[in-house]
Amino acid sequence: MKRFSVWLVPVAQVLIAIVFVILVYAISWVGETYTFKGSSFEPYDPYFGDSIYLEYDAFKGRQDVETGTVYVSFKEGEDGYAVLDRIESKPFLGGIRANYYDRLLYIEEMGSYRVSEDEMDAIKGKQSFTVQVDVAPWGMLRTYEIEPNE
Amino acid sequence: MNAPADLFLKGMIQVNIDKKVREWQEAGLLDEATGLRLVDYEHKRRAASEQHNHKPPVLVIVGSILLALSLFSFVAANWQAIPDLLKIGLFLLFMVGFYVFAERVRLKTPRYVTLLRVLGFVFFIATMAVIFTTYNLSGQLTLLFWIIFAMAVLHRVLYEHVFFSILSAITAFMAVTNSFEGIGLTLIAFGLIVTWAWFHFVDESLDRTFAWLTFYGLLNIFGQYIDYEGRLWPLWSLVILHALLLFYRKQAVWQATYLFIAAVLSIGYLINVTESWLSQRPPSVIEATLLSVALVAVYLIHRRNDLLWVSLLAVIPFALFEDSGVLLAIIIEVIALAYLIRQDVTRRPTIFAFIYFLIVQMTIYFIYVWDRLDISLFFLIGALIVFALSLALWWRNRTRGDVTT
Repeated sequence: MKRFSVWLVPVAQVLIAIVFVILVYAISWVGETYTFKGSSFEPYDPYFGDSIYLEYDAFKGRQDVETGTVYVSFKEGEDGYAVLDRIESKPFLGGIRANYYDRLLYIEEMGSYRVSEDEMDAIKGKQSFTVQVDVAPWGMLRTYEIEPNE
Repeated sequence: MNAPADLFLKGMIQVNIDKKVREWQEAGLLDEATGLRLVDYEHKRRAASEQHNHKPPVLVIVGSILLALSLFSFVAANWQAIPDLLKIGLFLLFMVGFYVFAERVRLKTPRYVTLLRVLGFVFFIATMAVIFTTYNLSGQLTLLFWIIFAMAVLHRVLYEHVFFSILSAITAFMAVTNSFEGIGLTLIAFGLIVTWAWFHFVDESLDRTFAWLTFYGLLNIFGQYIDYEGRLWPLWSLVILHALLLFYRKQAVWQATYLFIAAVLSIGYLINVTESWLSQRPPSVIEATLLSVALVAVYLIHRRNDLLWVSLLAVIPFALFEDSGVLLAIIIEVIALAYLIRQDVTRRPTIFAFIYFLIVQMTIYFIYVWDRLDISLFFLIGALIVFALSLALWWRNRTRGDVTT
């Protein structure tokens, strides 16, 4: 018994890591895709780093919830872009963790996007984008594609 | 005794053994079979001792260090270009490697085992950090903290080393402080289960103290979850935690945490009593009564004289109705003094009672007397009171001594 129990720790830790990676890939397999209109303060320049920082029109405006940590879900609006569906202070199934301050909603995972080598030329110098985000039913999301609007 | 000379001698014997045996055989001292067995035995022994004394040459060590350095710098320089899964796999490989290594050296050099296991744990955290930064999972960070805490507790339970107690305590602290902005019921339940496992399976006062504090933190997070609006929840948490005394009856050091938290709470309420908290509703009479009854009831259930002082917190809910805070200040002052005297009279350590008494003095001074009285006058009055009390005690002891002798 003792001989096997010492291996419990490394096995459990490997499994935890694998489960997290699988959960990340599963976002795209089973999650729903939403389209957002995103903009960046200043044009992207690969010289200053490999991430671009984005803001979203859909997240601006007053929400009927206390400031601090909130949980949100999305639905598709009439123009095809995503809008907020539910916003609550308590976690709910499928709710994405966000912060709400100063009439501005902020989701950290969507706040920055790591630009890969082959996207660099298309994104460089642009400020307005169409952003595709996959949202999983268990409250994880992944920005998987951004395209300049012009 | 003299190791090099001994080795030299052995070498000489071994080099010459074939020759010698042949010589003895020719002289008729040994028969052929015995000679063969002798040679065979000596050769085997030599091979074994060479294997045992095997040390890698210095150049090989230097070479492998250089190789490792070059590998590390190569990986570091190309970190961005390495595929995500390969990165994670590399870290996992290192992590498993440390645990395997720990098991291999467990019997030979047991002093390195814990170090290797700690390195394994560190690499687990590093792996998770790589996964979280690569896939930008900042929304799940609180969950990660609780998972790391659970793994630290698992280390403590399975590997039974005090270092993992400290690791568990640190990770518990991180998890609790990161959860104050609001977590769900499932995560609270998960935290409670892990903390209970830590508390139950590790029968050490150090671990139980930290596990108790984690329980306390989780209960306060729970109070936040159910949107309790008031000032009394920390006291309710303390009352709820008395349930542990029903199951773990044996008197132990970890139970001093009840007194510790009671002391911290009394100071906390003393500081906050004058502030009218706009966002929180005033205490209701019913809740104050219930809480006071509960605090007295837990004492009546466990009947532990050393924990009697926790029940005295029952005065706080009512003292909060009086806004100026003078009532609470006087009550706490009296309790602190009574506690100090009680510890002294019963010949128990007074150091903590003394520190508590001092902190109460400082708090009262800074909050109530700051702009009304000079600090030296304030402490002079305090000193006179304490001297008068000690004189009275001494007098009583003396007269009682006279009567008995």
